[in-house]
Amino acid sequence: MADTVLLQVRISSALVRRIDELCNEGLFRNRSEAISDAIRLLLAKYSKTSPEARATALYLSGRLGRVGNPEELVFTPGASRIELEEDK
Amino acid sequence: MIVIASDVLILHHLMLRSDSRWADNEEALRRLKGSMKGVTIYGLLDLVGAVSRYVGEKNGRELYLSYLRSEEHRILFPHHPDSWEEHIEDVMKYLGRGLSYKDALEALVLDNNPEVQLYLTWRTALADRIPVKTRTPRELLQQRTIT
Repeated sequence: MADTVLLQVRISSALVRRIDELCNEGLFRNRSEAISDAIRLLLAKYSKTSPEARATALYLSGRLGRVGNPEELVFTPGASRIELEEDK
Repeated sequence: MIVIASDVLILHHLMLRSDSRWADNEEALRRLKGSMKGVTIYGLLDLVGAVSRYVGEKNGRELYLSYLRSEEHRILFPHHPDSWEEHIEDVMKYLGRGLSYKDALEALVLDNNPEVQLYLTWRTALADRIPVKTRTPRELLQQRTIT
């Protein structure tokens, strides 16, 4: 048997009812199996996203730490000619 | 709040010293240092594209993250439309004024954020076509010298 950990979490009763329905339909043997499957999906979703996408999600939720001023980050491009958009 | 357009930020971050606008661009940004400024998500992505193009993807990505984390900048996002119909309705009024689709998206964000007072850009042709007052960095410096 795989190494398992007992995890106590609070889930709304409405969600639990939906999970029980899926179990009753035979899609999962029990709540643990259904929730484990949901967590696998969640991990798969975030493993595919870039650090920029994850940071954007954190920013929008107000949970991204704020530090520094990006204007200090400047670059020196090589010899290539750079043209800004025309004023139109 | 002043919103800084991507042209001003591109001049700064790519250090385009040979551009005739460089000195005023830098001075205007220097004077705004320490105050909260806005950048639309479209303007920021435009900047990231330019930086990635000229100095590489890694630098572009780094710059994106540093703006999200900035203490001095707020990234302004648009209201997310429920449907394409709603989106077309939203942008059409700006397209009708002759704005490009990219500028129409920028204008939408400015419209959705009532705290935006000024849009800082070198593109004077945008004046009267976007929902807020525009100033070039040069005009901003003159205005601040007088007052």
